[in-house]
Amino acid sequence: MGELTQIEVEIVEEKAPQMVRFVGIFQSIIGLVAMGVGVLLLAPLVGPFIAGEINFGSFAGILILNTMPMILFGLWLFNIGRSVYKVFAHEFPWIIYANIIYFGLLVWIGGSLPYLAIGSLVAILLLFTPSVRSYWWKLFKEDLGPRMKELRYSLYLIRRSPLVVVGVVIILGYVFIALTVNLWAPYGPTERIWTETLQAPSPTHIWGTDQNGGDIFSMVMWATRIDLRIALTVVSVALIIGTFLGAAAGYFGGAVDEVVMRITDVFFAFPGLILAMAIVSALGERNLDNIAIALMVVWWPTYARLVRGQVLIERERLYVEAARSVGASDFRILLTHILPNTVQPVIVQATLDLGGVLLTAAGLSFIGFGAEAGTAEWGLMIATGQDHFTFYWLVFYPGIAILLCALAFNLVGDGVRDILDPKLRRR
Amino acid sequence: MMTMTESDNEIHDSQDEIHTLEPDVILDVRGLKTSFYTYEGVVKALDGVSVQLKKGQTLAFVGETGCGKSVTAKSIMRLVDSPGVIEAGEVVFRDRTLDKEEVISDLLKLSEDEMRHIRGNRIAIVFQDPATYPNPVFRVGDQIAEVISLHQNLAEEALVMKIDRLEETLAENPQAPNAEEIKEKISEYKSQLDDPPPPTDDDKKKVAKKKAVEMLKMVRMPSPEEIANQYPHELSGGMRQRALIAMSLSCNPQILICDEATTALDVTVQAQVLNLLNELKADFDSSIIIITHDLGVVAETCTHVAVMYAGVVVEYASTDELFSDPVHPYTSGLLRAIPKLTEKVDRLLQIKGMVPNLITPPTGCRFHPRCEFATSICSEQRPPREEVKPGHLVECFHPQGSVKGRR
Amino acid sequence: MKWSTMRLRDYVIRRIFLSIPVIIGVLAITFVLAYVVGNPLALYVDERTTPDAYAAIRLEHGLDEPIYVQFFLYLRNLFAGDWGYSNTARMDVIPTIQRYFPATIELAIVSMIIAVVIGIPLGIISATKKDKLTDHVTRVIALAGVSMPIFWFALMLKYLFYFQFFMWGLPFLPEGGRYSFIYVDYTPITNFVLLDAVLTLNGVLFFDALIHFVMPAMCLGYIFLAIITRMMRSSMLEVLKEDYITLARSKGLTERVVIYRHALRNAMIPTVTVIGLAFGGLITGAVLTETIFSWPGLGRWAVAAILTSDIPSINAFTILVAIIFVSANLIVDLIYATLDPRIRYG
Repeated sequence: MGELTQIEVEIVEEKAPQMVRFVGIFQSIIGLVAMGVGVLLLAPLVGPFIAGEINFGSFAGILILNTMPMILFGLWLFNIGRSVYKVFAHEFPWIIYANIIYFGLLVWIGGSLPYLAIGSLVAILLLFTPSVRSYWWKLFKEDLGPRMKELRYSLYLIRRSPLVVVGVVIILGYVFIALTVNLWAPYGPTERIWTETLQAPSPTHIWGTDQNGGDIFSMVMWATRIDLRIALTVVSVALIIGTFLGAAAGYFGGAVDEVVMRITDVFFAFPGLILAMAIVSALGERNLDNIAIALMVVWWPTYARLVRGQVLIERERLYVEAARSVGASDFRILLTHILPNTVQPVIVQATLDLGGVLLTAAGLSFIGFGAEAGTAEWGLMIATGQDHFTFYWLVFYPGIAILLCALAFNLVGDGVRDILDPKLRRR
Repeated sequence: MMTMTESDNEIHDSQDEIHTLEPDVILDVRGLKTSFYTYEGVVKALDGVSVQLKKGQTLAFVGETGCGKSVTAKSIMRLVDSPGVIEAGEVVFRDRTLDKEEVISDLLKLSEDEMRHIRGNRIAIVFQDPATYPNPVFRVGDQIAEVISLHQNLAEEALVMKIDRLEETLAENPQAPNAEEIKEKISEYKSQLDDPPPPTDDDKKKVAKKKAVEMLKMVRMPSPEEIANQYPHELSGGMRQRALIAMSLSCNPQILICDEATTALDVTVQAQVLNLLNELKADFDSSIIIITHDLGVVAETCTHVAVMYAGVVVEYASTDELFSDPVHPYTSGLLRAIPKLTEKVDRLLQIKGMVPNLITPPTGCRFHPRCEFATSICSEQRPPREEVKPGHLVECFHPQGSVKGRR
Repeated sequence: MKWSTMRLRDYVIRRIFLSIPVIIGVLAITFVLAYVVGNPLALYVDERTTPDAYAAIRLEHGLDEPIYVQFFLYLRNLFAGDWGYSNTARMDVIPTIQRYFPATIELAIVSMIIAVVIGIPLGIISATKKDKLTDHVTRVIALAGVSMPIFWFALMLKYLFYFQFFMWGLPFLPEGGRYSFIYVDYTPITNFVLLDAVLTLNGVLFFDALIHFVMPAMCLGYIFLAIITRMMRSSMLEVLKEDYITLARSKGLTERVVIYRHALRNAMIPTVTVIGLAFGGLITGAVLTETIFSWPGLGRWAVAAILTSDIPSINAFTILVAIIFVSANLIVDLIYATLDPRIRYG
């Protein structure tokens, strides 16, 4: 019924201008550099590890925490470059997103690495030069229209659920504290005033002091950095590993699927904290890095299962069939067609898990793993405070900090799940 | 649901209002308006639907997807889910009680309790998708028995069942030591038959289950005893649909609404179900409302047709009349769009344009943007309902067919 | 009828067989953790151990064998009941478990009962009153429970009901333990205090033990109440949108019957899964709270073992918990199959 809207099919010219090719190559180089950075992070440890000077735990820590994510990320950046070189117009915007994430990652790791980020900025700027822009901008804008409409509807739904707004505000508050605590905290994270131990909350120490004279308020604030960082790294690494394995399992099926799924079965046979406990005690050394590793090992199967399930659904969709029929490679289909469609549930799960990881990490700390005594870390503060539990402020404030933070992540995760759920998203 | 329960209180008082109905008419829908309050705006799904159903008729609602057929059915049953609200209108229903007394009432003004007495009992509905409508965790027989024991007293049946069972034991073993006792019991029960005592829950359940099996037999289900003990997912689509029909017929309703009841079935099963419905209508002395977009179904089974467009009944007539002399341009468009087996055409005919957005429906006649006969008045005023021929009602300024140009 | 029971039995058998590889995987992981990643000799050696002595110890423990032989030996020992010596409890692991297990299980069961009895109705009410005040309050209570560090909650309860009530001169709850051994006479029979009290008709002991249960059970119970309430609410909301609910309403059933008969049975299906998972979580919670309430259970033992790097105890605890967890999941799957007739034919 009615006239069909004419779909304008834009045929990409055979000969793309040099500039587009250049941007592609440039982006690929950024990817290669990122992979190099990953390797370099591990390099200084290889010798000592072989010589037996450092233990498996620290080595694995660097490998899993820094090297693997960086190399995988580099691979992704490289692949975007390749797609741009081949003039797949709809992949141009990915340069922007990926480079922004890359920039953040470099700043996160710190050192002299942020200088490398200049390359990312150049890549983004190059994207907006007129000859390159003409290739993707129109498509991008057309693509953006319906997305913006959905986004506006989502924002409307968020406004209608005040709990999500509360959660977002709390999270932003925590992030703000973590970023700026060095500017305004009254005391340093390990500063002790030996003459003022176990003081009740007062104007000088608004949340009191602990048995060693540490200012509880300052310590709780400083701990924001450590705890948020653990939660973020654990979830992001678990997410990368889990997504990778889950996608492979779901897409290729057969033996790969069987192996990955049986492994996740075994991991799901343990309650998270107990397995993490066993891993940390096997790793021997007690520090925050080992907690992080243990939690990643515990958490990746969640994502593997989630992504596998989604991939299984998406794999059968017609658009995948269409992509396959025009000769797209498996890797390409998986990366550009299937995975973007699994993002929503993964994001929701990750948000909820940020709270879960935070709680489990604090629990591990409380049992006696984790940071060395005296570190400003919430779980540890409660653990040391339990011997003096009649001085409630030692335990109360760090606990409230954990509770609020986990609550905020849960509020947001919960709300966002309802908002994104197509079943509940009736207008 | 919420909204309806809330508005119960104010409606309750106006119970005494006397509704009138022409004889024979069993359901009269007058100016029914239902809206859905959504993010994008108020969807006026029904905008003054008026239609009559007479006793023994089979009435069809036809129209394109989204024209409000199902909403009409759900509004009659007061089953519109939030965010939908029934805003105005009357649904006057002639209720025959057991003692043949007639009660005429507006369903929209009944209390929730009174309405529950109507639902499933006086007016029953069969829904579109047999895959999702039966409750997956209950046995088919139990689901049917549930309606029966809810709406029927079953006292007499329970008593008869007891007597039968005792007589059976007696017949099997006449020399039993307690034979005298049993005989006494039987005569005691028989004396109660005129005024049976309320049955125990257990007896009621058993009788209801037995009746459920009977109902399954009635809808031509093979081996009904076995089916009654199976779960819905063990049945095929056609069988499930028949089970749903059995469920809705089990209280001998005066009106059976079939909301696209045959759409999800394949053609042969569809024919079986339709024949079944027609036979059952005669057996049970009920009236049927069929909601469909399949004009073939209409021609085969219905006595009357109401054509809906964008929340309005634009034309109402008997089936023969409507098919031979469509008056509303939309109806004739619909009929022309049916491909004919005997002709070969390059391109099937269609009605130009799309069903309008009901948040901002066209002014005046809702069909005018797509109508080839539209004039300026069509966009300014809503056409009044007019009886162009006896029993043939149309809402149109420019009626076509045999009455063309009368205005 | 007979046919479907047959199917159910087949399903049970299949499901039990499926959990065998999982148990083997569990044992493999614990083996890898204890023998490959960790150093099983950590307790026997220090910096003064000479290389020769070290080699002798390795030989003695069979650590020079190839890894698969070691794994086989490990399995053989486990199945033979030789789970090693628990340095923490100063006796063999198996009797240690027998001693501590009832305390933890009893606590878990009492907490679970509290959580289920309150959580399920709360979830239903929240779902049926969606977006009303009741719903908002219930959601916040539930979300707070999910986000609560359980050890912190335990300490706060202890501070309030033990210390602060004592300071205020109110009747206060006992600080910890399972019963007041000072003035209650108790000889364990089954080691489940409440059960023993009932068996011996000892009212004083029963009441005393109950008082001791209040704080730990409140603490564990609240967390799981939160999980159950949340799950119940969301699955109830989902079920209430289903077509068969419309059908149930169209039959003329009252809202009560629609919710408690037609919707509840369907909504319970996912909730039961969560209850099973939560049972594993209860053991986790026990690890974090038993120390605080001096509850003589597995959790307290495990934490003590961790602090002294007592590998056999940690290993045994891990295996035990995994087995409990797997069995809980098995039971849940069976309940699931009885609740949802579709499962057995899947």
